[in-house]
Amino acid sequence: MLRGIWQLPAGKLSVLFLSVIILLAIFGPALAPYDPLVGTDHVLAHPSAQHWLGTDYLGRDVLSRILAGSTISVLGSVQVAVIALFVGAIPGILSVYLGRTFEWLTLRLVDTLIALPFLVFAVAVTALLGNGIPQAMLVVGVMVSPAFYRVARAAALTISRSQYVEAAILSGASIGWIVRKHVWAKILPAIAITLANTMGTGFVVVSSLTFLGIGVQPPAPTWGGVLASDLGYLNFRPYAPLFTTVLIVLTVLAFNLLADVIRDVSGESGRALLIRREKKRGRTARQTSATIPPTPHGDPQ
Amino acid sequence: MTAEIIDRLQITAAIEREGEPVLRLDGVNIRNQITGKDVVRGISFTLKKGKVVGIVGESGSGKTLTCRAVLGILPELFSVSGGTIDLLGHDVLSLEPKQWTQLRGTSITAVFQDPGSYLNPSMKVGAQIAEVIRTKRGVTRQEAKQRTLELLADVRLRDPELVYGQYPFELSGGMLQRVLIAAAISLGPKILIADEVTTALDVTVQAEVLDLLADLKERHGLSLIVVSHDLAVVAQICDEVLVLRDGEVVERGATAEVLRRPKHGYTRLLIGEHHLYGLERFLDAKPTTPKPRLVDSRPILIRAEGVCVSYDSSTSRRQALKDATFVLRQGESIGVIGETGSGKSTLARALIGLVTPGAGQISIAGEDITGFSAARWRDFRKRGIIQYVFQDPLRSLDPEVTIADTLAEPLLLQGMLSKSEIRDRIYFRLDQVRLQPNLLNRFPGELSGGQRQRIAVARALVTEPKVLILDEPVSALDSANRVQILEILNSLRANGTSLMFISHDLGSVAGVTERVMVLYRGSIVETAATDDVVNRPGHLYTRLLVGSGPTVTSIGSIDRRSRQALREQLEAAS
Repeated sequence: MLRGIWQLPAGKLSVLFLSVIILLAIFGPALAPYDPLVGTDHVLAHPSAQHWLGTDYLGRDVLSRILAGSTISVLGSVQVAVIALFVGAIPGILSVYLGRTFEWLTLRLVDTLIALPFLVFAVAVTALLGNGIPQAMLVVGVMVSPAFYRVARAAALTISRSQYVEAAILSGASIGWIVRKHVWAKILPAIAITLANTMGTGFVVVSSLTFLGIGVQPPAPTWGGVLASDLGYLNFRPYAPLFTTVLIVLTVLAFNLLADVIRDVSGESGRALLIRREKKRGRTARQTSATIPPTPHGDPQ
Repeated sequence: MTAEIIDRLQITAAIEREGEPVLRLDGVNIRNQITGKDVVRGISFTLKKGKVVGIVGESGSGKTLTCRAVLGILPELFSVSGGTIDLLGHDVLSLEPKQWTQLRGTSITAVFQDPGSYLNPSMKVGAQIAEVIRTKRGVTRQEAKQRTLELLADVRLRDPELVYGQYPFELSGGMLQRVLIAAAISLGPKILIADEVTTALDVTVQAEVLDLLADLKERHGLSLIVVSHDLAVVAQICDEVLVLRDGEVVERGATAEVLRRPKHGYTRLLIGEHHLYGLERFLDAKPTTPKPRLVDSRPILIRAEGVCVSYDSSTSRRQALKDATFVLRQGESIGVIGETGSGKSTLARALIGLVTPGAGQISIAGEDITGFSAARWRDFRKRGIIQYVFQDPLRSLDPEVTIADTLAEPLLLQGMLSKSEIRDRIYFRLDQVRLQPNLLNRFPGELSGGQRQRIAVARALVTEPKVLILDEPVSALDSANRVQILEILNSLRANGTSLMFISHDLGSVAGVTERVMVLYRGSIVETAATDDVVNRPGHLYTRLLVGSGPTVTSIGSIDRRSRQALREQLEAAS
């Protein structure tokens, strides 16, 4: 699957872009040319050689603040995705195998979670648990977990009713074996797609919360915070919100693109797609397929 | 104007005369507009009044396209690129859509496979037929209903009043097909095209529908085009037969002549299958005298006593299997025959623990399996004494697991062999099902239907089972692949593997079994040596089954009237 993603241009593009974002999250604070917390006399400066993206209303370098703020955004969205994955996918698969009561309970719980607006809920919970991004993300992670639950359950359900699982049972396979050998590989792409989408959602959520000023104490740099402060001084720097919005939009887009690519290259149809592409690229280059003798009874369908 | 009408009347009158051609195809080509290739080339035939033309060929041979061209309903992207089609004096290819509306139903009509999909599921079947009559004939509701009831009686539905008020889901496949035939003939057409009408039906029901068609032909002077992939179906009612392959007619002639002296290799292959593995094997041979029953001393492998299975739903309780008692000995191969819903699959599933019997005892290789817990079942299954082959290999093989891993799975579960031993075992079995090792790295989707089923057989064999249960293993395959699977099964028998071969088709079972067990409505009604069952069927249902063919030599091994009599007797008895 991983090789497949790399083979498609869209996959290559999204992976490269996301790698840059991740590198920023790790090294961003160190790369920042100025201290993101200390203001200067150059208030609301336009972009220049000293300040590539200009400065904000306290004279702080915008580029430095964006670089330093990337960590919290990436960490936050990773946290959302990982929590949602574990809280959602595992009960989703198990709901198919653990009997009616578990199934009923989890399904009702999931229905309840879907009914709640998660941004509002996150705001409320931070008020309860203390103002911090990890607390907020914990809540958001649980709130978006129904997506994983549904996806994993739907996939596991179809597979568990298939005849090849019945065939495995007839060879003496246990539930663990069936999940490992027949279910897992088929659920994985669906989960990967949901994961990529959830990362995108997480990004939007972190940005929205920090934009509202929730989860971080004001001087700390965040993408949402930068955007919020830029919005207040549109008369002086009308282009300023573009930097952060474009960055957020592109990151979310890259995650969604990655999700699409995973969907395209996974499963049987994905295999067919990759083979078609390979053939198109170089008919003569791939000699191996020509050396295998044709099947004795007609073409494979 | 008047001259034209008189002209038309004269033509119609001429056509109405016995033996006049009602449909003539001359060198018809059908082109796929995307590829620009002609998928059907140079088909010519003439259908005369009251006659039956059969078209035989495997899927993709162009038989359905030809029919659709005649009906003017070719799928988009296909067009007639040459030749002429003359339908009752009309040049079909130049007809306007409006003229077609006039012709279809009243002059030419068709019935297809899968009758359920041609009926509105939320409308009573009687109302659906009556609606057509009302709109086309302009009669009152009452008259339309009256006519519909007549039609339903005409297609020999036992209780027309009842069927009239039923929804499609309440009817069986055979009944649905008859309802569609009733709808098709409701406007008194001259020509009826029957495209694979019997394909999804049980053998006895298949014969019933074919008998009905033959009967309608006689009573209403219908001309028929019967399309099928099964030569035997065509053999039963057609006067003339065309064998199609890859869009070309490879053989044609009077049915009896083609069957007796096939010229083309492909026709010979189609007929050969029936002679090698069909009922013909027994019917060809001189009737034997009943053999004295020898005492079988082979050890007993499966013993079932008084096994009952019932399925409960919230509203009803259906007894799927009643008091089944039988033994299967080491090295014996037994056929299990019965129509859909007769309990044959239930019996098999009880043996492998996929359903739990409500009563009775089953022991396999000396172990009483009736009270097994889930864990005991797992351990027992890992030993691989009994293996199962499903009907549809596409569904029973994991599409995302390579053939090699599929074949290795039962052995890995056993966990007793080393990697190289497993590989040896797989290569050996692959060879036994006549497949090349280069398939091992492929996925099921890259294999043909016949190859897949052989892989399914190979998977069942890797644990070296003592018994192989096969549930309709050849029903989804075409002639050549069917023969291949049956040959493989015969070689397994020779090696001492016991087989339990489940099928609705006595023909395919007869070639590979020594004993046959007949199930009817959940009960084992007859168990006897295969040739005894074929030559001296005891139970009424068995007699009907054997008499329903399908055979290519005798065009139905008993005549239509005897079959009808048997059906009535059977109905009265149950």
